[in-house]
Amino acid sequence: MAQVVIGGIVAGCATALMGLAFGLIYSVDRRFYVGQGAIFTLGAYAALLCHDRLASSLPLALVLGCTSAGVAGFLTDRQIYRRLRSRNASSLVFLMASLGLYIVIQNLISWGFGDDTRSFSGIDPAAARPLFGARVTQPQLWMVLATIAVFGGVNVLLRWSRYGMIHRATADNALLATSRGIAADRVVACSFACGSTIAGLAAILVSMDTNMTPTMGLHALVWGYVAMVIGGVGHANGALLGGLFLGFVRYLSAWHFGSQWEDVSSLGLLMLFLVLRPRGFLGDSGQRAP
Amino acid sequence: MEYITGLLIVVGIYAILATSLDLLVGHAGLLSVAQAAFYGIGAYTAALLAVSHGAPAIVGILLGMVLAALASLALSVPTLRLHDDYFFIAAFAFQVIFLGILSNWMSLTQGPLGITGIPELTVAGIAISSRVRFLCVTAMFAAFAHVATDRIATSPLGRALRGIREDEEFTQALGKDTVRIKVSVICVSAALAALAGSLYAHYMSFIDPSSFTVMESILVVAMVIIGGAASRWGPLIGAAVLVMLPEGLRFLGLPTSIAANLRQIIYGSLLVLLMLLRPNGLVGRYDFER
Repeated sequence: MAQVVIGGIVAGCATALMGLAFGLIYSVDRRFYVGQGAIFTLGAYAALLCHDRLASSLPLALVLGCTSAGVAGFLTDRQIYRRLRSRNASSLVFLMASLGLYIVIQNLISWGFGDDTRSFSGIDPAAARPLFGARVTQPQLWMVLATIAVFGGVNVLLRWSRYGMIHRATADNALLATSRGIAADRVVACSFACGSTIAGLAAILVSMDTNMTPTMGLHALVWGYVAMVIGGVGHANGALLGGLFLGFVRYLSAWHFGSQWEDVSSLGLLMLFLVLRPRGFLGDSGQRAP
Repeated sequence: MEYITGLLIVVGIYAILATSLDLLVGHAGLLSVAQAAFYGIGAYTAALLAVSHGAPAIVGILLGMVLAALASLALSVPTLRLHDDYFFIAAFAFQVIFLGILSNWMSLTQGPLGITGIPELTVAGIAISSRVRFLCVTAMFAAFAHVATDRIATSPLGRALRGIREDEEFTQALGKDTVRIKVSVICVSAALAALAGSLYAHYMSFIDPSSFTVMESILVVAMVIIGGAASRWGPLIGAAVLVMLPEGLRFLGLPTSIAANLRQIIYGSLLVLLMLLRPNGLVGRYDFER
């Protein structure tokens, strides 16, 4: 039983981080970026490159991996999405362009690293310590700690910093924020950088816990998105709630029915929310449905 | 020659899919990534009826169309009250759940093993045994789909659809029952997609879930957008280009070890470039910019 709870929490933390990474961007821009799935994968493989080929230490690889994901996210926004946005393109066009980007990055990665499953060398997955009668591995512990730290940090930033106020203003009403002199475009670029860094962090931690493949990003993208929607769009803590809830549902369904039903159960949960409570856990009733 | 006819048959099948999807994406402005699910319903109905019950092909085709139209109600009725972006998410969830059931309902679909030995098509007592004959049948059905969607698009119903795309509330204010219009057009689109599916099943004589994934749905969306949404010939051209392009890249003489990745990279870059330079598609008139 304790093992199920721990497994659910760890799966939930990973999903919550991805939901936050995605939600930060979605809250100010309201568009669906498939390309972020590839940025996620990029973070994991950049850390692998630093750690295994350039022989850097694990913490340094973590930092470099996150940074490269953040920079890549920032650059894609500045070079591609900003041009589309300035033309006021529809979400269809964004979907196609970001899909193209996803295909390019994913194939660059599988070209460079091969399609095989890879994992960080030097982490012993069997080295687990007992906790309340369950077994917790080192990366799982890091995952939970990182989630607490990231959500704490984002909450503090959004609530009390000047940038946080600007971000919340843009998320609330971009047009009104622009009329008060806020460069909404820069806020979007900034949230791309932050969101992509968090996505990279989540990817590295997930791949330390299990492993990585060039196509891992698509699943992470979907689960993060589901976590964001069921938590409540536009609420950073919604992603945490939604992620933990989805993590438990996924873990329990994999445990009960087998892992092949994981997708069906998590997307079924999304359908249920869309029909019964489209604004999610934390969304307010007055808010425009996203 | 065999190769060329085979290629043209595939173009014809995708042309049916793309024209059917254009009713939703181009005319009604509903972004759906569930087209491969309806395509799959058509393929599996035709295959199962022909293989295990020995039913005539025409029964399989018609029943597949009816079943797909009914299944589309499960997607459209509960979700069309919601905002357009939510329809996209719901369609995505529908597609993933469908694929999950397809891959795991072993007793009906034989899961990932697929269905083998689907007999060749027989139309009005004539066996469609050669590829050239099959091409004629495909062209006939593609022409039927093209004329049907064109008739809908140019009728008052088509005008109401475009009204919904531009401003749904305004169209409602003119006395149109927009939800009913959307539900019925999704039914028609799903039925046409199922027609394409049953053709595919009879042509390949083997089907498995890998042909009906989200990526397949997105490929059809890409055909519509790249060809030009809401234009008479756009989806057809998009289907031809996206089927021929990978085949054409095959002749570039790339080293085999990287050919697959490089082809995908070229395809992805073209998608991004096209969205940056010509977002209304190759022959489209309607630009999705507002």
